[in-house]
Amino acid sequence: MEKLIARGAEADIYYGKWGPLGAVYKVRTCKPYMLRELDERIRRLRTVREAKMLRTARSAVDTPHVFYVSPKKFTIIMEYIDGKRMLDIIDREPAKGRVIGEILGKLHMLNIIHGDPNTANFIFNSIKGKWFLVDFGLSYISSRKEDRAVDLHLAKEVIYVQHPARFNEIMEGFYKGYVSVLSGGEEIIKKIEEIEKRGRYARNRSFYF
Amino acid sequence: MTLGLGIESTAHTFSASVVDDKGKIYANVKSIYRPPSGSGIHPREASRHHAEAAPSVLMSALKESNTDYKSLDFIAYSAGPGLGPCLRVGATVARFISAYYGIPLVPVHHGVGHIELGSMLTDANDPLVLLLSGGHTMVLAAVNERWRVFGETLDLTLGQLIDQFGRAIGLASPAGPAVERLAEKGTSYIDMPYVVKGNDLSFSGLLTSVKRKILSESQENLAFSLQETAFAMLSEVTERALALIHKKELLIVGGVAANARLQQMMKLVSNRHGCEIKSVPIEYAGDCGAQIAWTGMRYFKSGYTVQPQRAFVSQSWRIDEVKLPWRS
Repeated sequence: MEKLIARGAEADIYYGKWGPLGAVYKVRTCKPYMLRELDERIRRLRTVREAKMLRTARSAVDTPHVFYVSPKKFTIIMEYIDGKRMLDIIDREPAKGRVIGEILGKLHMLNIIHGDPNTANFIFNSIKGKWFLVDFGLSYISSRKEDRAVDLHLAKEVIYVQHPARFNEIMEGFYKGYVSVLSGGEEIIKKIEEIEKRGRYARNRSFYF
Repeated sequence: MTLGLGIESTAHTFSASVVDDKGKIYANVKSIYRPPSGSGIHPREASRHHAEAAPSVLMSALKESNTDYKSLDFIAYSAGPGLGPCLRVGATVARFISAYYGIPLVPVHHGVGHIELGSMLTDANDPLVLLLSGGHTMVLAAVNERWRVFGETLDLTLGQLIDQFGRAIGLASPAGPAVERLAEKGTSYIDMPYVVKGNDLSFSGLLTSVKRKILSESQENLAFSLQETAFAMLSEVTERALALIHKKELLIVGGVAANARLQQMMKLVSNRHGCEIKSVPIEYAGDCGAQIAWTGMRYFKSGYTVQPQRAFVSQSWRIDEVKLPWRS
């Protein structure tokens, strides 16, 4: 482990080496505010689950290779993906919303729910010319329409907060991308509305406008 | 000097407060409806309490502020979200005074009220906000004149979770302080469902789980485990928000903000992200007239008033629908 790249909500991300390769060390650190038993239960569960999901998802979307997993140290060592985050470019290129939609659609096809589809988790590697999806800490397997729709709702929610100025354009591409890879995608998109109406104090109209 | 009266009556509290445009609070008089132990707020009973308490609460607020209706520049009332019958009492009182004395009316969103009063009292500039009460559990940040929801509960609010647990073991609502005291005596953690979906939270499974264990576990341990789990979930979502949008202040408002364990956990969360915690004095953390009066002041200063015949209330009113002309 050489240097701290990012401090996320649930893990510290270090850059380091794995043999000759560049690697990311994702260490789920102890959370001092949490009860120890609860903290360790969650960290262990998420470490193991994330490693499994990273591997499973590979058959549909590009994810970093997992090199090594240590549930005892709550650490995953994986391939380092160099590149630009969607977060930093989508305001200039709102049409890239389509990429988010496509990637989530492919993932849902495999019955994987990402669970944290914010725009910082999509990284474009220009050498490989591919978009990578990272951070599977909240991912799980499900074929329920409800879970898929919640995943899309989460994406919509973050896009609304992080990119309010281009929200409509991004979402247009997002939906197009989603239905283009997932048959029956329209039905899931319709279900987002249902979820939003369930929100507290939501009125009959869509909750954003 | 601009002087305004605020009337709060969304749920169990009927309160009136007088503030000026410098943010000085002259009076903040409350009368709280207490349901019998083991039961929750009955909307009809609460509204009856409010109707009975209104005259004396208003009179003492004016008396403490050494003022009268004629000196007021506006009257603000809580227009929602909340319990219909309770909201209507506050609105009726406000409309009456407004029509009789010819004072402009300002409708205020209860949640915005919590946040604006909190910001004013703690000098928060551009905070990440945790709005935690019986009606809201939300993580918010201001973008383009609105509070944008970063994450929220998908079912119960934190306040409901604690109250409903309290009710199930025979405590009176609001049960927050009593549950907190029980939790302090808890010694061992009982496994509870921990449900975080992205930036959203779900507390319904937690409530079911804790209710099922009432007969087999001690109340102290249940209260302790309930608080630890629910607050940990909230801490995680807060950390997510801070990691993503890097705010330098964390403002905690709403009734649950009074909980000491929550405050302690949030302090540690904000330390990890180089963020300063802003907590509201307990007197102003829960529902009070001052939140309505002060927010009314901001709207009034932005030229926003309504005619009495158009002064409605709404039981459902999402905070992200509300325009905040002063937060551009």
